[in-house]
Amino acid sequence: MMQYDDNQLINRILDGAVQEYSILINRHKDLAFTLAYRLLNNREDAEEAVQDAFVKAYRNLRGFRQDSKFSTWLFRIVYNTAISKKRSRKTGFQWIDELPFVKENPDRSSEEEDMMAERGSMLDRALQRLSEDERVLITLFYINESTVEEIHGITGLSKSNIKVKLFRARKKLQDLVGLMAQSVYI
Amino acid sequence: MDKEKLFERDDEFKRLIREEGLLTTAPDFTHRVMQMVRESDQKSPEYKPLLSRKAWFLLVTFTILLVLAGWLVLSNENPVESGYTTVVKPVWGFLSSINLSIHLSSGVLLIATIAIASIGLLLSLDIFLSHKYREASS
Repeated sequence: MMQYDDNQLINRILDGAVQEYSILINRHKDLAFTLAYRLLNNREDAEEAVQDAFVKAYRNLRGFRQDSKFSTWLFRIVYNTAISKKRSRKTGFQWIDELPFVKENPDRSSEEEDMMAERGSMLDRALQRLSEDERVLITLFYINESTVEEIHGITGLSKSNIKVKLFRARKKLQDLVGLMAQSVYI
Repeated sequence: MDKEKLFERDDEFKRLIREEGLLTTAPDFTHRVMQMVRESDQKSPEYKPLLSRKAWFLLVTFTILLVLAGWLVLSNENPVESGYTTVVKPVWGFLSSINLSIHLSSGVLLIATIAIASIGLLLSLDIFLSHKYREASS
């Protein structure tokens, strides 16, 4: 099957190939989910927010001007939906999932899987120590490799604020992971 | 740790986060979203404006031509007093007096008013329907 880029796919969807929206979903769902999870700390809420965001994006697909990346536009919707969801939570109680939901790799041995799980858990614990904003910035910067401009487009934070927060978050996270690694391996 | 050290370890750190930090949705996630997308498609049919931009342009051009034609052809007719002209004519008369005494017949006034009212009605309907559509799709 021919590989279309995001904008080509969007044009095809707008021309009636609705089914091809599933390709866009598959392409961006994991990062969208990670982003929502870093804000909401709860798998169910994060999935719900991302579902809503994808439906909103589909409904407004005609409004997407294609002068920026689709992922930037989509993640802005995900970010705003997750923030709204967070605000609408009525109770103060919040269930925080214990373990992250990390991609499994069938090529790894069980020993490697255990080590990866340990590293994943360590990273997740370190991320939990950061503020929501810092977690979001780290996710966008390292996983999506977003530029400061794109992060500004997604979060609405000022560029100077992003630079400062990102530097602090990276330093903080590296220190935390370093400390945790020392306590595990020494 | 200074800035240089932070960036020295950055690649290693980036790899760790890319490998371990990306979370996955439930296996049926895409299927569920597509179901919602299809449902939303059924709920809110795609909005198509009553008149396209081209049609609006043609309509406005036609109206202007109609008014101009009426003005040129019918301006020599004797105006007939009616309930209609007694309402519209004073206002038009006032505007005409400002605009270097342009005198129009009741026929021209009738055509112009009908044309303007029709455009106004269509425009209102278009705005109303697009608003309804936005409400339904939000």
